[in-house]
Amino acid sequence: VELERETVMATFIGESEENLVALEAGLLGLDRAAGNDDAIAEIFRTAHTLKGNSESMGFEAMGACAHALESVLDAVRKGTVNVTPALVTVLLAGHDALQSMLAIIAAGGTPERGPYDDVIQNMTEAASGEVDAGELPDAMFFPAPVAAGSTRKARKSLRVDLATLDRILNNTGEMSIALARLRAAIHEAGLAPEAILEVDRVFEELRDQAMRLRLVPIGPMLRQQLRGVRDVAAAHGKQARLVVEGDDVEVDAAVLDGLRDPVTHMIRNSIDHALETPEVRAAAGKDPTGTITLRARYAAGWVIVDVCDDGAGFDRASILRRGRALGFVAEGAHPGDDELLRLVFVPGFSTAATVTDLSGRGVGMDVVAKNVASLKGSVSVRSTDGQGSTVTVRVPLTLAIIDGFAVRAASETYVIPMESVRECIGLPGSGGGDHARASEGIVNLRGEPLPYVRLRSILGLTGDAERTESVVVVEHHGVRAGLVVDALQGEMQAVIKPLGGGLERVDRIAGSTILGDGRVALILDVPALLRDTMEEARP
Amino acid sequence: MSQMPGGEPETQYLTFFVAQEEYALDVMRVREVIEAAPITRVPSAPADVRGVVNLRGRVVPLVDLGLRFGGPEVTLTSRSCIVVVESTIAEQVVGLLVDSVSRVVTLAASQIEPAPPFGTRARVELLRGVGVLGSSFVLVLLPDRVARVGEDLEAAAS
Repeated sequence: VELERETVMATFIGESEENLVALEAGLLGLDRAAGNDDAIAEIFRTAHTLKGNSESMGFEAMGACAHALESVLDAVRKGTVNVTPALVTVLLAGHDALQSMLAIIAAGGTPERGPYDDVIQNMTEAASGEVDAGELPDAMFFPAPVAAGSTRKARKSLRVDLATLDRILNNTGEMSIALARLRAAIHEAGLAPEAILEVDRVFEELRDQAMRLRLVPIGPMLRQQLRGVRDVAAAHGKQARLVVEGDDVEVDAAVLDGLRDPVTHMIRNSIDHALETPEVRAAAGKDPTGTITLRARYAAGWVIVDVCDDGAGFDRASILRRGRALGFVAEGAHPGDDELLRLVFVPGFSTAATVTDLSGRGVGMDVVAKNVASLKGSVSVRSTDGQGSTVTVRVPLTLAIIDGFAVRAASETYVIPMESVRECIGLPGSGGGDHARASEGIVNLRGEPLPYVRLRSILGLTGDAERTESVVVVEHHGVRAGLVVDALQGEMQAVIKPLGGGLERVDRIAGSTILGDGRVALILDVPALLRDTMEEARP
Repeated sequence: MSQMPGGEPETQYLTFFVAQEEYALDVMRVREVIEAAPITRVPSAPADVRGVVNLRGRVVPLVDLGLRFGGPEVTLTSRSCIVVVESTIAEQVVGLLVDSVSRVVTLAASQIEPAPPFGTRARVELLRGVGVLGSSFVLVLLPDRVARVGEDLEAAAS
């Protein structure tokens, strides 16, 4: 019986979370829904379901709160109460109260009515038309606020601990290593059974599915920003609407979690600094309500998220002024447009308190850049004066696996992320002489001089150089260089393992992976390698 | 943990050799002992980290106790072993490379003398004390200190 209660409880929590997301979206669109009977009936039904479910589970306070909310919506439906911003705020407070209670229930508790008396009272008054349209009630705070909502797509799903998924992924990784050994043993024994082909096929499928388990749709996270847009706009005397595109794009759960803060931050920035006030917009012939568009899409193993606004665009003149004042731009230098806009991501540029007044925007864009970089992603900006700007975030689909290129240097295997690899060439004239021992040099790449460094030199590896060497041409942020290695081993899919136990901060290494023979191979941090090499080259 | 007649608690220790000296670690902190696996060197890791090894799908750092105690590195032979310990700091798992694993001994707290200020190869900070077993000694290690990897990195960064 206890187990049954647990199952019912899990279903109740999951359903209520979904209903709360739907309820919030509905309430935020309530003013537009005025007069649309179907839309209002839909919101009413959601509240009604929440009430019924709470009551049947014996959570009286939650039922009472949902009941009060439902009665306001009933009055709206009957036309006895008008939708005003004040009314929506009262209802949103009711939603927040329900969310707070659900969090308490999810943590194993039972919410008491006491902390929620005021919000229930406000809604009961609103239902009888006692809310002054001009008066906004004070902000309310409830116990145990909820940070994140549900990220599930369908109701018929199961909540699984991320650690469990990681163990499954780990096991499939080990299985592939064990299979490689088994294949070698079978081959050595002179056998070639059909069964091993079948095992390989099934295993491939299993591994693909295991990797896909971690993918979740990005839509709920993007839609959660609706509330932030409304609140921030209201706080700054702006009008803004949020448009979400591509909400069925799926991304690794860990990447999604890492994206949440940067996206919230960028939206706040856009509303705070980029969107003009309704009066200014109207004077410029624009819609007084600004539009923030969140657009998610795929691009070859990457997920791209655009945060677009139709505001004033970045104020290039003040960015340049500030860049000069801070010494990021030399006096008399005229940086290109890309270079100029990139300044907003430089630490120390945008966090200064004065920048809000000085520049077009830019509180904490360096934090956004840093968060995105920790996801192995990148961020860029486009901006058109008077028409708006787009901040584009590019992150890998998953942090758990990358396409890599394996190379050998000083009898160790290293993996270079494929996204940095442009091509591979032989190193002409390699073998013997001082040339082979020099740590760097220049090679002719189809008529262009390409600087190269020996991987064994930058990593400080010992051991004699090979007779023949190869050059892997890598590129990051437009900087192109050659990495000289002993041998090329080819493309591979690498399941990324963190370097644990205190080695996380080791320079020039992005992580590790386990090779087919069970050995550990390090994954190179190409941006760090290029940066260090260039810094060392400076006098 | 058992009780001596006097009521004093006893602890079991796994002992191993590094550069002919016998060291002891609380068995409760030893996750397992494995044969020396292929080691992958890690550039710019702390000097006493030999590299990383694959511990059933988990990549763990390998501290060479010979180097950690200030002596020459452990020579890999058929007897060398990796003692896997779980550090209580952030639940990190670290391998300790030793010359050979010796035995399990039982020591009461009263059998562990404070470490002398000199005379031991390992730094005093790494030692809980010296265990007295009849006529022989074992150097009792502090697991969290001996399995700490980031120390040198932090020192370099500060």
